[in-house]
Amino acid sequence: MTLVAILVLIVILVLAIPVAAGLGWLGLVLNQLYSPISLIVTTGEVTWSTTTSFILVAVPFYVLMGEIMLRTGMAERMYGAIAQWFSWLPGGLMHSNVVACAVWGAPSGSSVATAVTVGTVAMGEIKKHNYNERLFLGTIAAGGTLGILIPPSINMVVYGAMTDTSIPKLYLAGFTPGLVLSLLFMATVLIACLWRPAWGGTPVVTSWGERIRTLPGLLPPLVILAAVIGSIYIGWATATEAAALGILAAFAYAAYERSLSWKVIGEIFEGTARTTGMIMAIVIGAYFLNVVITTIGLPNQIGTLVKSLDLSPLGTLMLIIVFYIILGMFMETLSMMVATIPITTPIVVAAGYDPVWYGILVVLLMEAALLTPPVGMNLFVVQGIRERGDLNDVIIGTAPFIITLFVMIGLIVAFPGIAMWLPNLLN
Amino acid sequence: MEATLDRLVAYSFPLARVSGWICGLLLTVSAFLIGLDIALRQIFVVTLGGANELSGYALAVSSSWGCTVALVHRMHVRIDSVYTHLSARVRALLDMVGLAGFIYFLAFVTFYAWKVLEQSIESNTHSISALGAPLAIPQAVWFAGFVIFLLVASIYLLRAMLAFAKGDLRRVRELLGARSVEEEMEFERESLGLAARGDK
Repeated sequence: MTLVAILVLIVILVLAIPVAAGLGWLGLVLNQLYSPISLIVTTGEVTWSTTTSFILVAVPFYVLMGEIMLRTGMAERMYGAIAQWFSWLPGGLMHSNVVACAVWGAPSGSSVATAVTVGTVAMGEIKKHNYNERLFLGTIAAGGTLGILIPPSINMVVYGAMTDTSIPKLYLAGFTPGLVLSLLFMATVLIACLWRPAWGGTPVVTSWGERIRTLPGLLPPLVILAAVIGSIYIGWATATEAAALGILAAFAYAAYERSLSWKVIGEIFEGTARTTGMIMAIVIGAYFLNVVITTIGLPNQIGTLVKSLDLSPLGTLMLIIVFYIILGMFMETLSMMVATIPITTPIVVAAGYDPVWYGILVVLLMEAALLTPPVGMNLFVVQGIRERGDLNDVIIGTAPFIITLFVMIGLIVAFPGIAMWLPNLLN
Repeated sequence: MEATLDRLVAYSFPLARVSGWICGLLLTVSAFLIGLDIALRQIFVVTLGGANELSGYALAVSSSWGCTVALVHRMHVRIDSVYTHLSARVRALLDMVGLAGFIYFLAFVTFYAWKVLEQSIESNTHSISALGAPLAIPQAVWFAGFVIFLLVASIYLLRAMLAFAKGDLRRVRELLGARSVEEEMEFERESLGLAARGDK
């Protein structure tokens, strides 16, 4: 059964069938072969209950909020302000890249959008200040992945919905690792530039007056983040309701800035529908597959298989981490998550780990997947913005940050408290 | 035949655009209702009730109608690690197999979505909430979205097969091909209104 499932999955990978259909097919095949009763009749009911799930409403809400922020020009002003504040460090604007990605990625909830936004604004600075190009590109690719770790995060909503884990707790658990990882990325730049000062480029000239003047550029992402996260933790709103407040805050700010026109609104709406349709199609396929594999007992079988290996809890965890790192070299992250977490989560929880903590670990592994060649979406995105040279420059420049990311994964395994202290504190 | 199909394909773009507007509008209205609900709850300790339920319907409608929007824009995720290394002919073939597979799976979903709707109509089901909404209404719109998807996808598939038979691989790619990274970037940037600023 496990073998057949893996074989069908490989066929889907090789044939490049749309993931949504591929997951559905896998469900149909397993249903045909192993289920005592046909589960196809459940597709209607499962799809209705999934697509009206209030928890999952958070997904299009974050997409919509991100679209508003992207299309109303909030990014450039934010980068300008951050550049004023962080460029005095050895490595200059490379620190601004990481911080800008962290600040922007927080509300936007998507890695690719974060890397595109910050990358496009930052790219012109490489020549201007004579930075080491590879390292500079690496900061954008790696920084971009912070978007899914720092809450809110679409990946966390999907993880929470599929594993029945509290999304507010996942958000709380993501904060500290997000902060620590941002600092580790900055430390990586710092170490590289202390070792080879030439990489750090020429300093950015700034003054306190200039710093204060550009400060309002930082406001929109922070206000929106405060609306989304604040309303959850003062007890006003659930995770989904908070996302609705984020939309209202983003619309209000854009209207105040007079950057909304009918044309922009139309583009925002269409962009939202496009991404929502794509994500929800995968979710529909994944939920049907989930019904099938649960009924035929596939997670149990794989669980027994893992148990028969007689590994310690840590050994089991290592096995799963290695599995995700390898899979992550070839697969797109959201598809990889929905296809695998119904299987891996019960195994990890049975080994005695907390599902909230595991959610954060999975998100960190997805960040690695975005950066590891041959298929690493953020590498492609950064190369795409650059429009010249070779993809290898980006891969080499990103390598130190992948090592940093693995250090972070090691830290969170060794000290689960990094993620868990905040949710435990507020429990 | 070819001209008719081409006309139908051309119609799919405005269809996708208008569907997108409606989905976005529904979601925005839901967000406003939820915001209003939170404000009333906090300030006047009363609740509208039903805002959450309505936003669930907005998601259902956006899921089925958005599926077509994503199809028209070739947005549906495919794992292309092997795909990109194959010849144009094999890729075109895989494009068609992939879409046929999509239609096949969603045909099941659509048929059983109809069963859900039929059940709601026959027993006149209302939601178990303060709203007590007749479920047949949102379910009908939701179901219609899947039907539209099957129609549009079938037209695309037929047109692509015709092009393939004539050896027009370019056309197949235009209709169904997985986006290359360059196209993806171009698209993102265009839609963000960001000009390329890389120093060339």
